[in-house]
Amino acid sequence: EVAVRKMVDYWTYDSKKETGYVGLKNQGATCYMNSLLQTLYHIPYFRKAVYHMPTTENDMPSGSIPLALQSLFYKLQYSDNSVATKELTKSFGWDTYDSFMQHDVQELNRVLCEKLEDKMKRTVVEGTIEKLFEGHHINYIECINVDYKSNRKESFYDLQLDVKGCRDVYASFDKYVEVERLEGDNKYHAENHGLQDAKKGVLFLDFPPVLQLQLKRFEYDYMRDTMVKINDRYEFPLQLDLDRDDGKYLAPDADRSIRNLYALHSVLVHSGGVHGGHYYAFIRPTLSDQ
Amino acid sequence: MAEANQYQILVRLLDGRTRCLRFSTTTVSGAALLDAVSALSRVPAASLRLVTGRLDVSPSSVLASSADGRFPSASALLRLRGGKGGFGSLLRGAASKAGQKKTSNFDACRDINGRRLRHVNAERRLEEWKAEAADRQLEKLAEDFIKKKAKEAGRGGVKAAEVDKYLEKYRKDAESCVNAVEESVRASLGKRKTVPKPRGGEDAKKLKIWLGKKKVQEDESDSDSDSEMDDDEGADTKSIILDDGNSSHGSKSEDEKVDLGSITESPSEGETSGEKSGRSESEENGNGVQESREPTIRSEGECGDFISDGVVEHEIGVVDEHTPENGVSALSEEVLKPDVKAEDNTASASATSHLNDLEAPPVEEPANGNISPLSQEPLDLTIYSSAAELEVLGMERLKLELQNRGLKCGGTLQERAARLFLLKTTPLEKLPKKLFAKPSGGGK
Repeated sequence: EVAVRKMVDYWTYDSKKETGYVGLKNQGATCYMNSLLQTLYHIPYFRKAVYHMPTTENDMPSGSIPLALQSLFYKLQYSDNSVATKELTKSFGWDTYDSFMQHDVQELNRVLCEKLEDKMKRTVVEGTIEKLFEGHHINYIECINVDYKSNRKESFYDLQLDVKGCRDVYASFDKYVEVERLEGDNKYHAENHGLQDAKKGVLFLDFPPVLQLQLKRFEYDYMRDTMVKINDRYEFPLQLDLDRDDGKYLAPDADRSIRNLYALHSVLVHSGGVHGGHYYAFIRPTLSDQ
Repeated sequence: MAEANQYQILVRLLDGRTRCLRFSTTTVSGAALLDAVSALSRVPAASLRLVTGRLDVSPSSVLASSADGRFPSASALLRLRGGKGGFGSLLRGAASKAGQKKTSNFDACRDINGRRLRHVNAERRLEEWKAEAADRQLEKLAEDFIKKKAKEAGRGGVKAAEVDKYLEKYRKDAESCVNAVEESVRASLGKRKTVPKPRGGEDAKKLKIWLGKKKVQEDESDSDSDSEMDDDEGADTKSIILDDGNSSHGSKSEDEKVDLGSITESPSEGETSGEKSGRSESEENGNGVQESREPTIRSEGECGDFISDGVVEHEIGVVDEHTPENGVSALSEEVLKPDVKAEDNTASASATSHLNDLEAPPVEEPANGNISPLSQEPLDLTIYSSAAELEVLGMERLKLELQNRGLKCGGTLQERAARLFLLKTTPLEKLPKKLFAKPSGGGK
């Protein structure tokens, strides 16, 4: 599942009259792609950025992802019937076989954003993906027996939160920033000091405007040597306050003047098992938050 | 500086724990990293996803470490594949449905030659049927054989029926034998009742003497009544003999009984019965002769026993001395008889006179006995309720009663009793003629 900074308001039909929106056709097994596209389309900043992407004459029209995506978004916005996604998959380079393959939606999200970001370089909309989705956190390591510390700043487009053993999204965040000990056969190699016992933790410097959270609803069963899906109950509120408890998730040098309060915008839902299932989305399009 | 050769990457595994991986080069290929993480977490590399903050680590990607010897941290993930529905499901469904609905009947299709498969298959089946003709014949033979066995079983049933018939015949014969034995036993018991009278010996002697004369007369006259009288005398003689030797006497008595039965049967027939009766009479005469001889011998024995008595001695002397003397004694007796005749009966028939002579000895000796029977006669019929009760009176008394009433006095004890008992319910005039003694015979 991928929770994007929006919330589902109500169940919507694929009917212009009922909701003012239209749906996407399933080519074969492309509901994961359709769910992601609907979610991205309903991020106005993202949609406008796509519209402003240039379609250079050097590219083949049929192989241009920006062009296909612009066409798709335009039809979603103004068409009265459901929209086909064949042009887009063609621009991806997919053939019929790929249309019938099931995939992970978060994986597609990563690949699609990477492609778009590459296409946006040296254009008026350069850096749009980064502006929307990128956050930064610090991986810090502190040796126990010697005076050695190491802090490394890293960026992220999404966070992978554990589900097993966690009751809600706050419990997952607590586990994410929990301090771990590196010891035994897992010692840390400190410069000039060799292998040392150390503490390792994560703290956030800043959060992106649109925070994408992936719930790790999977584990591996070593006894049966197979993947298993975790179907435990997991709660997430309509509003997510990451400044709670005096900003325990924030690094000491984080800018605390920024308010880190998120509204739930959309939820991508997986129904089924690890080897196959169905994706659908809940989206709150009426939010005026940009 | 030697230590600086170590380059590290922090990987968060599936369970959320972080591991340090060390490499000796500043760059690492995605494949190598995936293999390392796969070995560490024991998850197949194909199922594993490895992501850094911004990039997906694919086998073809390359990670570069920073100046401080650390790579970007990574997270290990799995995949939740989805894509259900859409046109693909229609294709999959259609495939399975088409498979289910496929027909297996191709009779309407044509073969290479253009003939319909229906006809080609029919021709092939016909040839197979012909080929199996031999097998069908063998099956028929087997069925016939089984039927024959069944018929034999039926014949066995028929034999059983024959056996049943034989059993029935056997039972009938057995029953008849049993009845005959019972009758003979009853007859023997009846005769023994008369045995206790010791004085009967004298009567027997007289009777024996007269047997000879009567036999001669009977041959001349050929009358049934005479034959019956002979039978009675034989019975008397037998009873006497029984006193001496039971076993031998018993056997003789049985033989005579059989004869008596035959005699009784003959009267029922017409003229032919008369002829038969004559034959039976001749036979009886022969028997009588034999009996007369044997009794005489035995009577001599008895005389020996009575030597002490004077009267007895006189009688013995008469018998032993001469046969002509016997004739004289007979004449003397005849003189006595007329007196008795005058007293008892007015009838002049010679037969009746003979009968009276036979009766005389018992009458003379027990005078009281003569009176008592007369007084008892009317009482008998009223007192007795069945023929069986009359049998108790004995052969002799039944004979006297029947004679007085003019009825036949021969036959077995039961027959005499039954004949006499009829008078209780039926008057003499209404009785059938068969039962009456023949007057013509008497006249003769």
